[in-house]
This record gives sequence, structure tokens and C-alpha cells, in this order.
Amino acid sequence: MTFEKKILLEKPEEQERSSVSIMLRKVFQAIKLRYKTQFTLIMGLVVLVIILEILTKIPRLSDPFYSYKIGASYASNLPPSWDFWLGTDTGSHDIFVMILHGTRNSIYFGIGCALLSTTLAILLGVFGPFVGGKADTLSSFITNIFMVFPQLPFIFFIASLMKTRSWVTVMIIIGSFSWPWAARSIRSQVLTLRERNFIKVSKMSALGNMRIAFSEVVPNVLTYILLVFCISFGIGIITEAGISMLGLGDQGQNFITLGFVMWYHEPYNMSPHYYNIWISPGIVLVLIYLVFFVIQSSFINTFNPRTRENK
Amino acid sequence: MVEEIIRIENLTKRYISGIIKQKETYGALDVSFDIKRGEILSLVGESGSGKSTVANMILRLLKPTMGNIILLGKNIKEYKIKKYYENVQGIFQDPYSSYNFFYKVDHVLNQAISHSLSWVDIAEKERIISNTLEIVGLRGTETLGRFPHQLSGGQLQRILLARCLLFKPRLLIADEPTSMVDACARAEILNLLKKLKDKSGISVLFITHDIGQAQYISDRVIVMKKGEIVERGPTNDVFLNPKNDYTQNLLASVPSIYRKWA
Amino acid sequence: MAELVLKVEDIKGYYKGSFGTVHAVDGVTFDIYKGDILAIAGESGCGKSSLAELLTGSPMPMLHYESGQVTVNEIPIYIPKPEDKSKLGKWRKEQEKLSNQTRKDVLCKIIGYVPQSSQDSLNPVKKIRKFILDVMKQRVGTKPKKQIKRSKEDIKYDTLDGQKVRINFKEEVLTRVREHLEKLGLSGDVLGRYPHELSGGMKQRIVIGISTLWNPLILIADEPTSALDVTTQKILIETFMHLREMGIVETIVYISHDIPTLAQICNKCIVMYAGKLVEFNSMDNIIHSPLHPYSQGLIHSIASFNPDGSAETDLNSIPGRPPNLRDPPEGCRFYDRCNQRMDICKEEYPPFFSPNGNDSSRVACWLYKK
Repeated sequence: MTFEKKILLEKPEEQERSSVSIMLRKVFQAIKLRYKTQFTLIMGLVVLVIILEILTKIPRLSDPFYSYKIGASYASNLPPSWDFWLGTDTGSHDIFVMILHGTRNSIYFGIGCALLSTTLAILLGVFGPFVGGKADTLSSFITNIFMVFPQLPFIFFIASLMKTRSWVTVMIIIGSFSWPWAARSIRSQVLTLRERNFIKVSKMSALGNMRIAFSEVVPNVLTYILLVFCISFGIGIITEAGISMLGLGDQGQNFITLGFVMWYHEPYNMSPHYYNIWISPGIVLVLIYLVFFVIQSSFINTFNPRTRENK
Repeated sequence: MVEEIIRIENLTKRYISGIIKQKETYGALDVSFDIKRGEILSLVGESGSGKSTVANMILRLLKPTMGNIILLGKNIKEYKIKKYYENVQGIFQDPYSSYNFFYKVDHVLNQAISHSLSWVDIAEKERIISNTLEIVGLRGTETLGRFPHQLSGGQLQRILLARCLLFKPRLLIADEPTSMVDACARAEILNLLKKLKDKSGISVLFITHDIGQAQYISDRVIVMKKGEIVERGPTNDVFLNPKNDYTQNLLASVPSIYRKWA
Repeated sequence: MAELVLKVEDIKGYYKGSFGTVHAVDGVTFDIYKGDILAIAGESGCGKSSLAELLTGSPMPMLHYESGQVTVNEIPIYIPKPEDKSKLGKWRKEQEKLSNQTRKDVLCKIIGYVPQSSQDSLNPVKKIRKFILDVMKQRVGTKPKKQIKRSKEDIKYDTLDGQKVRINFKEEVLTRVREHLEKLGLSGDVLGRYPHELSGGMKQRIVIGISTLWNPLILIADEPTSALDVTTQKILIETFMHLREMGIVETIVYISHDIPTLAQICNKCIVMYAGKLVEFNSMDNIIHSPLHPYSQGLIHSIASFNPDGSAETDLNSIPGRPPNLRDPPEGCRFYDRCNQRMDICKEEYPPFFSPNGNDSSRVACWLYKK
């Protein structure tokens, strides 16, 4: 019996803890290396959120529903000026402040939505086929059901049924309807990965199914998962804006989104006299979506091994 | 005394296809053999003969329909997965797909070492890894810290062998380890398996379709056809005086540099 | 002296793409005479298949002709690249024209080409019959029809399988094809089947049959047996031998990494290493007394079945790996792995030497400098 084998017998099954953190660190490093472009873009987004968060904490900008005054009279329906960058509406609210809050909240909403739908997609797309057997059948059945469901009408239906809608419920509704396509495509990738030899090798290192799925399979579909995250983010923001604009979103005044800003100023819509009020939230919405389009396009480079940098 | 490492009894794998009109096919049918300590046994056969099915069943990657596998006198169903893989390890045909392209090649070695020696400190682990790599004829500086596509097939296959050795297995299952490796690196792997057998007393189940390699490396040979064993015996008996018609036909069609088919 | 069929002069072909320039075939010169069965041996990545593609005159998209010349039956198939960069555009157009001409006149009729893993090249949704008629349309320009108008200029004649046929007539063509396939040991009813109904060996024989329909002067077969079982492989090799006996093809270029297989049918052999030809010799000499250190290493690393006894000598492998062909070394490309290297090897690529005194064996190694 060799030296190593001896220690093995002396110290029975008690290990791991440290290896999980090592593994996490490794995965993070690998992500940083492989997704340089996306990493920079996403970091940019984080910085943007931080800036918005700081701005909305400044007292002058902290309340979107504050009625401003010039001297003694209310400052209503003003065109853009140095004091009010995007003008004011009838209620003397500063449009710029509203959009600042709306943008921040819309981004939060999008992140929440994307997290929810990506998690669902991973759960049903990776773990389903990887565990196999009945879990696989069930996951693919659920995916198929959700796939053929008419989503938008259903979202409207549920939203209009509820008397009080908080933004969290709206997020859950949208998030839980935007994952099936993602789960489908992740699943098909996992099915091919499952038959590769490196899965067999990991099994022969006596790793558990869940650990193999997490440390071996997920990194390989990571490009896809990131892509799904970005697309769901865009979908979440746009769908929420659409729903809120129809007046089916959160109507409390503590969580205003870009869609809410549009809905709130509905009487001004299309009036050329008040262009600053209805056009500015639209432009911001388009800009956010454009950023995510750029991120999505940058994935092409990562997907295509020919254009990937040699390392 | 010659110790018996593993005994396989009536191993059968049945596949059923079709829902209404069911069709049965056998991946392996009634396969029985044993492997002794420090012996290289070759499973020879054409594609579809069930060699790899048998290997996967022994490696517990595939569930047998019937039959028993007895490792060191104990049925493998009684082993814990972890304990089992300390005794039996395998390498596969395609070295490239045995690596997760997401990680560097060290990943497989770390995986193995965190399984068997997780409490040993990092310096000690590194020492063990470089020692093991030396056994398979590699230097750590040349291979560690690289991605799989930067190494040749032969090197990758030898790193996988090193990974197996970290477990100190009794039985090594080599499923066509040379068929996707460059011709001039094949001999290296074959010689390595021979060396392991002689020096460490590891038994090897060598699976191949290449008769020449089987003749070079093995002590005993089993010829398979469509999931069944057609002939078995010591290498020279089987290859020089084949009894079975199928074996005779097979050996007659092997191209060789020592003879010409006129 | 036998008739010269194929003359290859210092041919160079590079892969070009975003990955850089890979010098896959870097100056290869040899001749093939009528009746030769030439083996091209070497490890994967040494440029065997790229060379074969260059010989056919229409290499795959990423592979670009660089310089040199290939002459098939006295027809040159490349126009040398001009030195002047401004003339490159014009040259490219002319070369394109010549390649199209070559594809029509030379391929199939003078050169038959069986590409790598060709059993997968049959269209899975078409019956073999339909596939062959499609090939016919590509080669001849008109699709064979059941009936054509009886105006004279519509009828075209061609020689299939050594006999004159009216190429527009479907029935006539298919009868010829059927007879041709029967010569290769296939029954005529394979024409009505789909590829998935056939075994690997049958598919491979059909592809060979299609490539030899016009009885080409020379057949280039790229790894035709490597995906097959030994028993099927033997049948296929016998098919190649039959091709010669029946006078369908006289000259064959057989590319494989498997030297025992090459030893069965070939009489001459080329050994390639890292895009260069290192040795040209008769097959027997390659096996029993190879000249180049690389050929020696290659032969000594093969575990071949010995039917007479197990007196197997110890196998040796060649350490290291081939050089990166993106930036090949100046001197001998085998320098890093060679066990008999000298100082001169690193500086200068060796020319061909003929240690046996005649032209039948040539080796690119400084060891044989007199």
C-alpha cells in the first residue's frame, strides 16, 4: 500500500467545502477571460445604475411627484429650460426627474425579469435533461406547454384580473412567461453535451450529477445563458413599458417606470405642442434597447470560433 | 498466487426500440470473463461488436440488463461509487472530447485529486501531480496551464492516463485509446500501458479493433462479434491458430506489413 | 519507359483565413507514370489531403494555389501566379476560368477523385439513381431525359465505361451505370435505394463507381477505407485491384495514414511530413529499408499484425510534435524530432539525394549527401 492510499484510509469522507469556492473562483476567471466584450458592457451598465442611484438620492431630484414652483406660482407646462431640462407637465412635475426615476426602475425591473426567466430556463433546460428520466419528460412537457401559450393576451388577462398590482407581481408575470424558447435551445445544447466524454470522465471522478451539471455543463452553455439574460432583459423592459402604458402596470407612485411615465402623460400624447413630454421616455426606452442589441450582437464573436481570439 | 481482480458473469445489455412494434437488439449478450492481477486482456472486434458497451458497463456508465460484475470478490452493486472508482478507471477513444474545452488541462487532474486527496496541501498536490506526469513521460512545465487545443492527441491521452493513476486503480479500462492519436505517438501509449502492467501490477482491459496492437500488447485475447464472445484464449493461440470461422476470416483480412494478399 | 500521366512540379498551396496563412503543401515534386499505384503516406495534418485537392485543380475554398504546376496528361491545370501585384486580379479571373474548364474536361474524365469520408457525400434524401443523374448533369451539361425530341443536334455522345452512349438518354445511361457498378461487385438494384439503406462499404464502392464512370486515366482516392471495418476494408482494397485488372483505371494515387493497407496494393510510396515530401521510394523499400529518419520512425512505430508469430520487436515512437505550419522553420522540418540531426539541418532545407544511384528512390535528408 502506498503512502497516499494510507492517508486516504485514515481520513474518511470529509472534504469539499474549500473545493467549491475554488471552483467558483475558477468559473469566474474563465468567464472574465472568455467574455471580455460582454464583461465591459455589463460593467458599463452597472456603473450607469450606480450613477442613477446616486442622482436620485440628491434632494432636488429625489421626488418625481414634487410640484415645483417659480416664485409663488406653480411651474406647470413649461418647455425645456435650464431649470427644467425636459420641461414640466400640468402637475408641475419635472419630466427629467420622472425619467431619471423611470429609467432606474425600468433597469431594475429588467434585471429582475431576466434573472427570473433565466433561472427558470436553466432549471428546465440544463437540469431536466441532465438528471434524465421522469424529470426530463416533465421539464420538456412544461416547456412545450408554455411555448404554445399565447403569452401577451394572457399577461393582459392576468394583469386586468388583479385589483391591486405591485411591480413585483407584474415582474413575476412577465418573467415567468418569457423563458420557454430559451429553455428549449439550452436543452438542445445540453443534450449534445451530455454524451461527450468529459462528462464520463467527471462521473469517473465520482462527482455528483448536480455538481457535474453546474461545473461542467453550465460553463459550456454559458454563452447561451448570457445571451438569454440579455434578450430577456430587453423583452422585460419593453413588455413592462407596454403593459404600463396601457394602464395595467403598477399604479402606485413609489415605483415609476418609463412605461408609467408614458401612461401618466397619456393626454399629451402626439400633441406637437408638448413633444418634450411624450417623446423623451420613448427615446430613453429605445436607447436602453439599443444597448442590449449591441450586447447581443457582440455574442456572435463569442459563438463563432473562427472570429474568437486565439488564446 | 494469481489474484483475480474482476469477474464478469453473463453480462447482457438489451436495447428495446419502438413503441408498438418492439424490436430487441443486444449490445452485449451473455459475456463472461475474468481479469487477473497484472494482466492485459484485449477485447477485439469490429465496430458494433459490443466492446465499448462492455467497457461502459464495467465503468458503471451504463446499467446492464442482466448479469453480475464482481470486483475483488464483491458485487459492484455493493460498492459506493467513490470507492468503486478508486479501483476501476478508464480512458476513452477521443482524447479531445474527454476535456472540457472551457478549462485548462489541469482541471481533470484537480478533479481527480480533489476526490482522492482533498486534504493534502497545495504544494503536496503539485508534487503528486508532477510525479504522476513523470510516470507517463510528460513534464509539468510543458503541459500544465494550457488549454486542450494547444496539446497533441498523444499528450492529452497521456494526461488522462495520469489522471487515472492518481486514483491508484487496480483495473484500467482503455477503450480504443490509440485510434485518434497520430500514428507515431501510438507506440508511446502502448508501451506505457505495458510499463504500468509490469511495474505497478495494474490490470488492463484493452479494447481495440486493431489486431496488430492487440497482438503487441496483450496476454490474453477475447474476440467479439455482435455482442457475443466467439473466441478466447492466450494471444498466440487465438492469433496464430484461430479455431472459429469468424476469427479466421477476420485475421485473414487484416492488412499487415509482413505479408501481401497476392 | 512508361508513359507520364501526372507531373507535379514544386506545387505550393496555402490555407488562408483569419487564422493566418498555413503552409499546408509547401513545394512537392513528383511524377506518376502509367500503371503506378502510388501511396501517399504521412500523419494527419501533413498535407496529404491538401495535396490531393490541389491535384484535382479545384481545391476547397480555404486552400489557395500558390505556385508550381500540375500537368495531367500534358494539360496544365494552373496558370503561374504573376509577380506583379497589379496583375493579380486578371490572373485570378483567368485561373477561375481554367478551373471551371478543368472541372468539366479533366475531372472524372481524366482524373477521378474520391474525397475523404466520401461515403457521407451521397445525398441522403435522393436515391442513388437520381444522384448519379445529377452528377451527369454537372459533368456533361445536360440532364439525361426519358425522351427527347428527335432533332439531331440534341443528341450528345460521350464515352461511359469505355463504350459510346447517347448521354441524353436516361435509359441508355443508366444501363451503362448499372453494368459499371456490377463490375465493382454491386448488384444493379442499388440504384433504386437511398444511401441509409446501404452499408458503409457499399456506399464507398458507389462513390468509387461514380468517380470511375468515364474510365479516368488516374484515380485519386483519399482515405477510402479509414472509416471501415477490416473485413469491409479488404473487400474494398480488392475492388481497387479489380479496377486495374478490368482496365477501368490503370493508375491510382492512394492516400492513407495506414501503412499496412498501403503495403497491400501500392508499388511506390511518397512520405510527407509537415507539407514537404521527405521520401520517394518503392513500397517495399519504405517498409524494409526506409531512408529518411522520419520514415524510419514511422515504420518502427506501427504495431502490425504478424500472422507468423508474435516475435514483435519493441515499438518506438517519435517524440515531440510537428512544427507549426503557420510559421514553418527554415531548415529541415523534422529537425526538432530527429535523432540523427546535424548542424546543417537547422540552416538549410535539404535537396533530394538518390543514395541508390537511380531516380527511383529520392530522399530529402542531409545524411545522404555524398
